[in-house]
Amino acid sequence: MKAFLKAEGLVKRYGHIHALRGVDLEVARGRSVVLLGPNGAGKSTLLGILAGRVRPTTGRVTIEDRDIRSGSGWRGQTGYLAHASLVYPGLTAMENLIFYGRLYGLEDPLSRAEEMLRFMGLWDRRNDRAGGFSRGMEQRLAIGRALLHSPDLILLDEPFSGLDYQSSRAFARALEALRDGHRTLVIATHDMDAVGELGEAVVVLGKGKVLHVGPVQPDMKTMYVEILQGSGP
Amino acid sequence: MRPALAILRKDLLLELRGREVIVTLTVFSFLVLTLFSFSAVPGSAAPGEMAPGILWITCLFAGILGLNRAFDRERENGCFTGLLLAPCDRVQVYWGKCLSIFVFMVVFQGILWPIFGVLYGYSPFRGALTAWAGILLGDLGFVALGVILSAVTIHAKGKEIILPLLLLPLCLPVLVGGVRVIAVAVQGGEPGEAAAWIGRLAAFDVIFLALGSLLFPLVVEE
Repeated sequence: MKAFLKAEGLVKRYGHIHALRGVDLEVARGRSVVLLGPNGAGKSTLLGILAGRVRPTTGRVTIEDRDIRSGSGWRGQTGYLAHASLVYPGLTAMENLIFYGRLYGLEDPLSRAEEMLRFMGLWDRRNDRAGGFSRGMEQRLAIGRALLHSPDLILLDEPFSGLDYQSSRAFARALEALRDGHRTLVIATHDMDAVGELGEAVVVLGKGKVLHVGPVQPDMKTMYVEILQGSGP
Repeated sequence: MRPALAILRKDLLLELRGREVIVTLTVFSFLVLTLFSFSAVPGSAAPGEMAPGILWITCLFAGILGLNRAFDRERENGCFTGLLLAPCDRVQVYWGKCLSIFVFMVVFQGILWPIFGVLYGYSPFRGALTAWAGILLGDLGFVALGVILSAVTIHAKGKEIILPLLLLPLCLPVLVGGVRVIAVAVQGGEPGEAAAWIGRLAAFDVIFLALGSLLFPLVVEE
């Protein structure tokens, strides 16, 4: 199957620290890939490069064969949930989404913001400032911001962080609904429960290298531990 | 220009709600101008003669406070990254931040101008058009440099120190031009001199804005 998203030979160095050491990745359109790996494995750096936030030291990323460094339009196809929520504490939930809608050039930012606030279960708190939200609510608003412009490529960095069990399961179901065969998801997570729910394929990173690529297995936890143990100290 | 205007609108909304930047700049500038006005020996003409310089130095320091505060808002929750993820040319983000900080500067200087007149014995109406041409062009140059350097130092440790160290020497042409225009406007002088300095300030603005527009997309990526 032809790759929708393709990363070739990605290397990222921060001074003497090697965050990525030659990562190759191919994801077909409509597929859902889960990135696993211990802290410092390079998951967030990889997602940052795929989102265009981080410039790789060497290597390149293409979306539908177009190098992402060749223009800015592709960012409109990409929704990125970072570690930080990227929402303004001084603005209300509604104002935050309307602002990002305008920034993304949406035709009707107001109705799209209303739609996302309902989708993320924040409608009742739409006129409250984001600065007063709990971590879980802020995370839901951040997810709403990432999905606001109906992106084809969704990059989620620890989307379940800060969500309680019920909210994370509800969000996993919402993400499941987004898997319509058209949208492509790349999700970095430590939540092993979510791997089976969300992923069709799994990529295990360790020390900036790809350790394993393959389909999601029923006993993913054991397999993951074995891969990490096999990669050495 | 839509993304740049969206950033301006968002910054104005945040400012209307918090009034942090404009109030801070105005109070700081008022205190500095007042202290300088009392610093001279009674009867000496020194503060009056130095008034244009005092005004511009006050505005530059206040402007640095404003830049720091405006970019603190972008650093909270990683919002600056949110701006950079937008599917527009990143120069729009630069223009948007320039526009909003320019508006903050002009508003606080609008409040400061009559106070400056009262403290230093100038009529706020005398040479006002010429003086404001100098102020607006000076602000534009300051903002064009300040935004690019704030973007460079946004994640730096000790950015409150690094920013003025980088910005103030580069602002020298703006400071000299701005001071000369105000001096001619309020103290009198050759009309041609003010026009020449206004022309130079406009040229600096074009250079600084062009450099900022070229460099901003390059310096904001990690």
